[in-house]
Amino acid sequence: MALQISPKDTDLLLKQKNVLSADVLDKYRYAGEVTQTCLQYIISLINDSYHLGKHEPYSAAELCLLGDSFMQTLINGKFKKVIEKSIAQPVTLDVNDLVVGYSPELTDDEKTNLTFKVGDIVTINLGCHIDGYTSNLAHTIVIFPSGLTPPGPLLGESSDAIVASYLANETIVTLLACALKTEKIPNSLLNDKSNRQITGSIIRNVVNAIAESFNCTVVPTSKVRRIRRFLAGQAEGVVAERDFKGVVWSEIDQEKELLKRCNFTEDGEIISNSNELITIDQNKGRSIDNPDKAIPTDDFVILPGEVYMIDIKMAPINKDEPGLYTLESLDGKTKEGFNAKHSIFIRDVSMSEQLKLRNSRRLLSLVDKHQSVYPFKLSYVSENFPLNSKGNLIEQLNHIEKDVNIFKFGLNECINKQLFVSKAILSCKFIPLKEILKVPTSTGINGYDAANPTLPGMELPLPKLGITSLKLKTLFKYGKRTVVSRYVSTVALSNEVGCVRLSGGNKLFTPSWVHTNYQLQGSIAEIVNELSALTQDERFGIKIDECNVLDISNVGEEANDMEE
Amino acid sequence: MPSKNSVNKPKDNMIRQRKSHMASKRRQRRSNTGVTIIKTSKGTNEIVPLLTNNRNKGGVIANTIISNKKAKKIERNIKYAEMRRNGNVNGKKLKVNGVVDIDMKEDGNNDNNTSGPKESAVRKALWSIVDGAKISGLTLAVASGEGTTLGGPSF
Repeated sequence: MALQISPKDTDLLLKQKNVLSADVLDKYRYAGEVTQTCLQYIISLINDSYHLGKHEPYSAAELCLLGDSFMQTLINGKFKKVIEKSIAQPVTLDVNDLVVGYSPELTDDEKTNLTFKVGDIVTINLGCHIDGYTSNLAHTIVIFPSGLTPPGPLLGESSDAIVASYLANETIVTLLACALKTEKIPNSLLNDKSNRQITGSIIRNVVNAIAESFNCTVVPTSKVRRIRRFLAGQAEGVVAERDFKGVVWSEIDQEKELLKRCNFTEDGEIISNSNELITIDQNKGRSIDNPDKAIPTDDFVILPGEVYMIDIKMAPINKDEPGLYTLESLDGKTKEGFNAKHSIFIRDVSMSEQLKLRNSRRLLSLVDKHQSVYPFKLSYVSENFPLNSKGNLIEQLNHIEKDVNIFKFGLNECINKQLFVSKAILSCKFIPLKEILKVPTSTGINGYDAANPTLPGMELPLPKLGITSLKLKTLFKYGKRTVVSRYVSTVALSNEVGCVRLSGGNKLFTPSWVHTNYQLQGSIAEIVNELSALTQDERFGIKIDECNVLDISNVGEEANDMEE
Repeated sequence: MPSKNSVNKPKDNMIRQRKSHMASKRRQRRSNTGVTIIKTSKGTNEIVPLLTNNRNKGGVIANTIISNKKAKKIERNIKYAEMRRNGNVNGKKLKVNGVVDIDMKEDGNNDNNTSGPKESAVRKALWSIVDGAKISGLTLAVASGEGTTLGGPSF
């Protein structure tokens, strides 16, 4: 169902408001600066408490809350006239196999509120928006043993994933910047030399090649996508987005890759139509074609004046047997093992309902008043949020905890009436191929998992084998948790100013000390080197303008107070 | 017993009872007419040829008359049921007197058996990867050179 909006409004909201004018770029830039500053703040908190041992290690919930509060204070600091500005992605700290969404509340018990261990890799993910112009950021760091410096680089599989995802992210940023100066695109990347442009398939090939050379795989839900005002992928799958532009990795690509590897049947005879075997019929199982361009394809060109979010997640490949890397959604219901509770929610603004409980009515009115279409946590609607640096911190934290406990009473009704949609907490799992092949396809191929919405066109994870996501869910018992490294950056491609990197960047944030035995080889090494050389020299190459951290002299005091 | 139009008529119960009754009747009928069940051919009769099966040497008088064709069918099915019970599912052993049971597919590798008949080309091709990995390992990127290092000795 599409909403009826007049053509005039559509033109204003989707086109004019998305033109990268100086005003808009200012908003983007400030959002970028806030995310940069907040990341630096969280890294400093982790360093102080875990590495330098200045005080007791913070738990994940405390770090998330301190980060959110810090970010909200910064957002409130500027653009006073803009009504809608808030956190666009609550601070999540995804440890090891967790991919997105782990952001416990203070009320969580010790089992679900983790404290990190030495050797863990933690992905800090956060984002904010000013007037709908969003900047998202994710950065993976390593928890080292405490001391003045790390005793040595992290080795092993986790480091493979970190290096691969970091390099892929940096390379794609440069590649996107090349869209502004198409003559700089490395020739080896282009199929057609006369037609110099960056397309979706180039991006996919580069990322896949980098992953392959580090013995990694690109985890499903990784994407390089265009973002627009209020459309930053915060409700993917819940709301279908028209004119989606982006490369998305999913299980479908892994299946395609596996099928490419085997040209032989069991009897040793070559399948003559091996080409036919690997091409996937995009229209199969779907009654509609793609009129609104809501189904992602690689068939697009990156144009100046657009803003892109690069979200690359990599997992090391299992060396023992072939298999599929997929995502399990944790719901906090079963008590065995680690199973985090949902803590991030989105208000589904298309739903309205008369609620029965007083607590739920209060929660709903607070959410409607303070939150917008972006995800939020229960602590955001507490009166004591953001924390006031001048007051007593412990007291405020206790108040927030108390408020969250009260909101929890009303939460269930809001979720049951579908006013709130909870954001999934995903964990990466490796499922051996042989277990998948043993499963029959008797349930039919049209069953889809309503609890975990996907982008349109990706409902069926393994279309060639005909295995649905519900069927795949039953195989998680054979699954093995796999570490994932993730880097997210946001890049604005402006015709006037050039490429502005809103978040991330190697000048501000050096990656953690890691070493892998693999290195880039062959053509991809040349391409990556060529691209990184372009960014070294501004005169002949490409200038990438990285957003700086804000001057936090007054907020800095607050940070110090918090640490005490 | 509440009347037909009563408000508190136990409608659910009645429907459930009727359905289970019908189901049991159907089950009964099916078991009577099933081809592998030898109830209908328990004895010897002029109309029914003597069964080769040893169990039926009882000399019980049958009270149902079945056709010659049906009798042949039953006989054949008993034979195959016996073989299945003995575990001779292998294709070669199945070939008795030049007859091959069409129900039994010739499946070489037992643990690669998928449960459905939908063993498609895709599945077969993917099984070859699994088997290939068992023998020769996965094709992986080779670690070479000095490797790659990111970052440096600081937090």
